[in-house]
Amino acid sequence: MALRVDFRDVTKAFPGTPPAVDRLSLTVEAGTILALVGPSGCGKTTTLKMVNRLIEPSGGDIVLGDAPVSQMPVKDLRRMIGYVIQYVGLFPHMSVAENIAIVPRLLGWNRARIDARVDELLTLVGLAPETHRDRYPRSLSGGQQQRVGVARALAADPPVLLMDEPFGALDPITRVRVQDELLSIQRKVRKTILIVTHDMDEAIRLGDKVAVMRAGRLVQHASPVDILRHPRDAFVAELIGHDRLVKLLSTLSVGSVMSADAAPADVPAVARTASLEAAFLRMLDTGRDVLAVEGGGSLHIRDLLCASTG
Amino acid sequence: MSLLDFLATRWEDILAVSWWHLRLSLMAVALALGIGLPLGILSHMSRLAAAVVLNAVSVIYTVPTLALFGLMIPLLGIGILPAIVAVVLYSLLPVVQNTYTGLSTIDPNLREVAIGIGMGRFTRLFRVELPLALPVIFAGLRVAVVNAIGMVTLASLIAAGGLGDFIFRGISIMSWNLVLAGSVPVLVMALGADYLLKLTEQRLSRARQGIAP
Repeated sequence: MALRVDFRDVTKAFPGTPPAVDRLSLTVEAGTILALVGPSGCGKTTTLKMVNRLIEPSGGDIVLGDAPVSQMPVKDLRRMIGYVIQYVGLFPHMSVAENIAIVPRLLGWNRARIDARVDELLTLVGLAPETHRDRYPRSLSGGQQQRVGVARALAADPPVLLMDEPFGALDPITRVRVQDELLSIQRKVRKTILIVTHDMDEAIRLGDKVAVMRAGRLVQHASPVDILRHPRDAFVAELIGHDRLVKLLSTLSVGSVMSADAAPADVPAVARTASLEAAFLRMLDTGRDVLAVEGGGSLHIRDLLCASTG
Repeated sequence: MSLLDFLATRWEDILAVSWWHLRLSLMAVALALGIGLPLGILSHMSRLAAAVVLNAVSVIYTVPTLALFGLMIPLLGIGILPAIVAVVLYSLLPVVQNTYTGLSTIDPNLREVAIGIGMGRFTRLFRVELPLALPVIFAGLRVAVVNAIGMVTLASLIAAGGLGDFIFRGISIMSWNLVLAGSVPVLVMALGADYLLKLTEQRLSRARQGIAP
């Protein structure tokens, strides 16, 4: 189950400063990932924390499904929203299983149901239950801790998941792996996920939609491909970086721009799901300007030129 | 009489009085814990309570111990009750202060996760905050126990018994055997308690962080 999250004209003003979040309106469709991205102080974390009411908005409302969060009892609200933060926030005095079991216990599940759920979640995030269940957070690597953090957030099968810079403390290699795992978990659980990051690459990798924020305002809210093709202004372009088109090629798949024309007989083949970046490198590598696409069709270098504009 | 002869004839007395001394000390600390822990928690929850409670226990702690026993006489007379009350008052500072400090120095990220995950005020206190603060609270308890064992020596002056009886009588009749019979057990008990509690504290601290003790 997942719920739509609807920000309606949400404002948060702290006395004496410009609004941290200024009349934000956007909708996160049920079962999709929204990446909130922007420099520190842009209001992205404040936006996130208003969903589970760690911060109360000063104006507007956030609606989960049909229910405005301001109308819901705050404990009930929080128990139906998974929450993951940067330093994972696993409780050091509780075992992995106890950490995961927190919300189910708060909800009063019985022992057997909790135990079964813990094992199910550990398996889901790729940790063997028998060997990890009784360990303590201290004895896990950063990536493993992060997986337990995700398992804990999913424990009571919440329709919405909030993640605040969840992979910020991981090294780049672990980070990419855990991001991939999150995407593969998301394919199974289909939650509505709001993820805050200052890293545009992460936003593009993870988000079905990306919301770029600056000084409390929503600058651009679009799919990763649209943001890469048409950054709204110089600020967004700068966040993306000088290799915008490379990122675009690595985001788009061969299938999205290929033509149905048959390829010449002797050209190298490429998978339909491969990225255009991989296909382009293959062209450079083999010196051919056209590739055959596995399962029929072809990809010409002209198709790549069209990709940047859509 | 040589010290050994003295010990040979009086060892049963010395043991009995030492036991009484220890009981008095532990009783006082147990009471201080019963009162101080809730006061420490209260101070953590409310800024006003913190200002009042932390200052009050600090002020009590600055009163010299001997004077504190003296002050008990007009209020409660002499005997066991005023002695225990004085030791309890004196033991409050380490208990309250450490409870407060232990609770206030918990990683704010963990507190936020506890709130964000939907724990109520008391669930959070008992499931997260107190367990995490336990090593610090225990360190305060250790200080309180060692303090109390030393302080109960003075309780003899208001007729509450204990090893002070030996020491003060020894001083007045200039019997070093008696002085030693009083002071050595105090020392041994204080050091022993300190060692045992420190050991427990370390194990606790490691267990809290999930490191095998």
